[in-house]
Amino acid sequence: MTEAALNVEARTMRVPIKIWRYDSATGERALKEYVVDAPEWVTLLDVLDIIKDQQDGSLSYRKSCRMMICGSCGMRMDGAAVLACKTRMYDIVQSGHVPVISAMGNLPIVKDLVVDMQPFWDKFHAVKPWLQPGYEEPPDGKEYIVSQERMNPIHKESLCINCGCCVSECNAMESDPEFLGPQALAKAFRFVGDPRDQSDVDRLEDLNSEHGIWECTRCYFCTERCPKGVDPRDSIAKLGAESVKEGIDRDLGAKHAKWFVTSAKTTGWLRETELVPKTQGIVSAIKETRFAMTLALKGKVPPPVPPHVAQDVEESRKLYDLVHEQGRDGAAGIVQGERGIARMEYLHETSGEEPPDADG
Amino acid sequence: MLKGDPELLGRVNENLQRVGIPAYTGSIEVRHLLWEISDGPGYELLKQAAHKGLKGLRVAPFYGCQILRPSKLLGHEDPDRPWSLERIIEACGGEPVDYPAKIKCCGFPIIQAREETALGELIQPIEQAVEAGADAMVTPCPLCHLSLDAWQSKLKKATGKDFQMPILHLSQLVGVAAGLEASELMFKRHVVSVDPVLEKLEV
Repeated sequence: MTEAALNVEARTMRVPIKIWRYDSATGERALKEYVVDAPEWVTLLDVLDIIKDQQDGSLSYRKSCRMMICGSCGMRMDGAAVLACKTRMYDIVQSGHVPVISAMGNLPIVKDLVVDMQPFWDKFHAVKPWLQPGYEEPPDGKEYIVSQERMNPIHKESLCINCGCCVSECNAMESDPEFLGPQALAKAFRFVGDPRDQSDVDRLEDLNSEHGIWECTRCYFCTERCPKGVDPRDSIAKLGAESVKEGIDRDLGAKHAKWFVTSAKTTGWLRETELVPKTQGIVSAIKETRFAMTLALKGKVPPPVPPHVAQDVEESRKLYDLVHEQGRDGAAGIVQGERGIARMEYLHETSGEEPPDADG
Repeated sequence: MLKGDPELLGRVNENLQRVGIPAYTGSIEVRHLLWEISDGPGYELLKQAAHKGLKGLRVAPFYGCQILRPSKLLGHEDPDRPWSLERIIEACGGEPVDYPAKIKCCGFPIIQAREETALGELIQPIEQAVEAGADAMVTPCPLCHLSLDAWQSKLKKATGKDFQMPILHLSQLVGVAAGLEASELMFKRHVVSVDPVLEKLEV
């Protein structure tokens, strides 16, 4: 069916929308309101197309595929990053809400809804997003065959379309623009987890830099915003676990995480008072003495001795030993959170019918 | 998450069994105090309990990250336009104050590993709450409570700004409205004094 035919058949609605216009040449910024008549099936991108076509040709935004695969049309609706082509307008119009559209965050605005993606691509390239197999030719001289099971752990990261929606609202990057950020780190995990890649340890070393994985603030905005279900926070957590497993634990973030494990193993509780010296080292901790004393005077620092040991600490110790013994190697060793969520959603939508087997 | 993945649940339970811990059945629904008292029977109980009120105290809600996101797993409210804290503040007789950073991160998870970055996050909600004219901030998250309260002194050192913004935990806000004594609510453990709030309420 052609678009024209669809237009004839579809009912139309009146769509009011506000757009933050910006001109970096003059620095002018203004919130403009538009109202268009559009078919009920339109997406935000369709509405922008109609405005540009019929009302204001100077409106600037990026687009290409119009079907959620090119990653061009990332922008904010009411402050939240979305793909314009994935955002249907019908429910919003029905609710009576007038959405405010603006450019993505954490990237410089070029004009209107167009941002300069260069900082994004610089970080993307910094994680060496290409395969480093460590061999000239596959072992049998023909091809390197990877099982689906071995690729599953990096499946969701492979779905990334580089749209920047996760980066737009990254809270850590807002505070430190140099932070590598969710997109680059999710992409890094896609290669660290690839069974063909032979440079995992080198990659993890690089990712443990000042602006690497341990600067993530766990706000989960990336996971919330990603239009493709990549769940970058999950990838960053896995990179942290892989780093510690490889013995790369020099970062304060890694030391901090390791102390939780030690605490649980030794007492079954978190030994909070020792968390600072165990994370920052004794010298830094002493520099923090005055701050620590302020907290101690308020009764916020429980005495570390004698440690509070849980009654069933043996369970915690046995569990530690078991997990340690099993290791986390291979596809089955990595928790597939997204897969579980997808299945839950499917079961919910089909009222309990099992999803089809991925292998057919 | 485990309920949706029988394979994973099987592995977890096998491991639990090996160390002598009863299997996880997933039959317990985990609920947060925030959700319990912002809607349904819990909300009705809250309204009865909060008989002393807050005399129109201007309270800035601060949600905390992992009670809002990932919303697919939590699902209590719209993570970008949450309403539960505002509803509780109103039920307690306070006036909710709105500001953009109420859904953002306080920086606590990296406050030891990347203090500068964390402080850059922490200052946003406190500064915005001050600008919006809040008498106090309230959060349902114990870690947000700690960073918002205790790390204000570090913000002062880093930026020269001395906010002195009293930070209440959700349970303390309800406690004040229900007429509990200041001593019961352990305000003595706060780094930033809560006295201005208590004076305003004549507690």
